[in-house]
Amino acid sequence: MWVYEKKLLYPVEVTTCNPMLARYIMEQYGGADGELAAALRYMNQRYTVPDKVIGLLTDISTEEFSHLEMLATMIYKLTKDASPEQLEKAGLGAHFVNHGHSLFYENAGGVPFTATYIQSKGDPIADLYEDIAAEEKARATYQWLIDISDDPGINDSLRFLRERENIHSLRFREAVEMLKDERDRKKVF
Amino acid sequence: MSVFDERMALLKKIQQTDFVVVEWTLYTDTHPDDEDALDQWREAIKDAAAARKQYENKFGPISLKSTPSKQALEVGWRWNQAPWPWQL
Amino acid sequence: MQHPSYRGSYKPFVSPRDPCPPITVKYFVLPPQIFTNFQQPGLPQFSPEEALIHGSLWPQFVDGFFREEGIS
Repeated sequence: MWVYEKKLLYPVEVTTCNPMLARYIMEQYGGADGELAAALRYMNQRYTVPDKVIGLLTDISTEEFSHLEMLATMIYKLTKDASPEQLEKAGLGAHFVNHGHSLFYENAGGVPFTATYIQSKGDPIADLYEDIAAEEKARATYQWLIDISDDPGINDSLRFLRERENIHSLRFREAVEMLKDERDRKKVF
Repeated sequence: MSVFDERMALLKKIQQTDFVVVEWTLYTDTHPDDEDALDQWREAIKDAAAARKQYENKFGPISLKSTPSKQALEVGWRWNQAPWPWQL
Repeated sequence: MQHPSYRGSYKPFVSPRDPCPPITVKYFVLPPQIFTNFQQPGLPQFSPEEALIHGSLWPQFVDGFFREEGIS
């Protein structure tokens, strides 16, 4: 089970009223390499990996949900008081007629989230290599978001999130090393 | 310092100490035999609990794992009460 | 650039028919974690305050990223 904590993992301060930026950040909210995909991918893979890496998948998945909440906070703040005209100018007109001011799991182009973004192969190495790739792709997405955003508060939070991808990638690489240590273990008995 | 600023400062302290716990948790997931790391992890959990207590005494529980302090209840704290994290 | 050791570069071919003014050197990220398969125990640590700011407890895995670098 999970217990909600009434706090963000890292402070989110939004400096500008910029619905266009909200639209771009949706790439990491409901996109293929976004935080929702990451959280669901790891949480689902954990049932069929060797016991020694279950903890890591559980803990990283849980952290991804806290990243999702940070992104939701950014999108919420950036669009909260925007008029329909402002949203339309920001390319969110179609979003507005379908969802009003609410958030939705979709990417920057408005494509709704789909489970086909993630995979579970039941093969520990295939799954961990997918996870490492996912972290590096998310890191790259954060880079391009930082490049396109001129909001210092948002960029501070995005820089934090990008660094977390580095650490998660490192841990998944370590998980691969842990599994390599199992080579020929059966013969030892 | 305004009440809002005090709240944000105490919250920041929780975010800092909790983050150290997050880091040691992931590290020990892949380094289960690093005894020194396990010690630092336990210390980090203690530090985080202390920071949490400071905030919660004044502003009420952050999760339903803590008992609301008398002070928090007296000033009208309820779980289902704004501000939620994304509203601050 | 703040962390030159975590960036790579290459010179793309420039054609006289390229429509935009050519960028003669392109940079890309080589993040710290790809240079290690397993974190050594006992690495130097940030204070909790710095760790949160950087997004890592260990300076060795922080490369930072700023739009001023001009990678894109």
